[in-house]
Amino acid sequence: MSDRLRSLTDLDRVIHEPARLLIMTILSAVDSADFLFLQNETGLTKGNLSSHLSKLEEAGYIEIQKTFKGKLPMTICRLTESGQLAYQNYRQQMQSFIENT
Amino acid sequence: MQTQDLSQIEQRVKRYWYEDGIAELAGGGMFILLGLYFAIQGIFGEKSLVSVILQVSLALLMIAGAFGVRWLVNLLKTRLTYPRTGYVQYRVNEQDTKHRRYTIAGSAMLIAVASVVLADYIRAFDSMVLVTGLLVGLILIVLRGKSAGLKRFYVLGVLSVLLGAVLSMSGLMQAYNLTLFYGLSGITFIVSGGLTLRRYLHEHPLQPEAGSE
Repeated sequence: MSDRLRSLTDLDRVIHEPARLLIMTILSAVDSADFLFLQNETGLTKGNLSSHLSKLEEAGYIEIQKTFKGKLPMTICRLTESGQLAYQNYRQQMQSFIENT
Repeated sequence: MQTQDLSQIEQRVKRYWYEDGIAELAGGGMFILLGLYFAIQGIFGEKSLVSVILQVSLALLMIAGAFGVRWLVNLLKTRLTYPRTGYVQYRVNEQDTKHRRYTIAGSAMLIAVASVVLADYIRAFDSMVLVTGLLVGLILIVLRGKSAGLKRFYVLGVLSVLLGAVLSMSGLMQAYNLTLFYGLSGITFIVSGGLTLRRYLHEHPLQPEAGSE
């Protein structure tokens, strides 16, 4: 297997899925964002978004917190340290793959 | 998804703060208050008791104003924006903030020196309003237009620079020039913010089931 192909197979599969990559990109640009914002930005349905968030939470890449802003119930999501690291690694891997192709 | 697309997504997330126009409305309000401050100075004279009291309390007024604006922006966003398009808490990047501060401080010094030099040559020149216009324009273009990628801030920035330049040659008293500058800029911000908020509310009506999961 060539190095280029190996670099592709080494990609983090949890992040590589397009919807989860979108969620990770959004969360990497902010400290935290709520469910409604993520739903608006990704265009995913509630069920779909919940499922992707659960997978990211299981991987330890995001933390989810249920809270209130005034009287508004909110589900706040933020990247964990390992999530930030995994996202940065993923981007570096993709960048080098694109440059070498 | 390419890395360029990812950078565009990040920028779109960053400009979300300005998409409802609330920050401009608050900034416009602050500018109008500053305009009133200079109007009072102009009416009563710089050495009057009222002006001296105002000058002494300016720092306090600015701090109270900044806290008031932050409180008002948060209140309006909690009522209008978050239930419609969601809540975002931005990260404070200290290194980035430092870099921006140095850039603005350096530019401000350059502009101040240049305007003082120019003022020596042209007597009718009001360097204070020119510097103010350039600084406000610079902040709007660099910190708002460029970093958030919003075109309306470029327009507002250019308008500020032009307004400062025109008023600097008006021959009016400095206090009146600053009154006009802050007053007109404040009104422009409020109009721009109001139109943006109107469009935002129209494009994002409140859904009955809206709210976070």
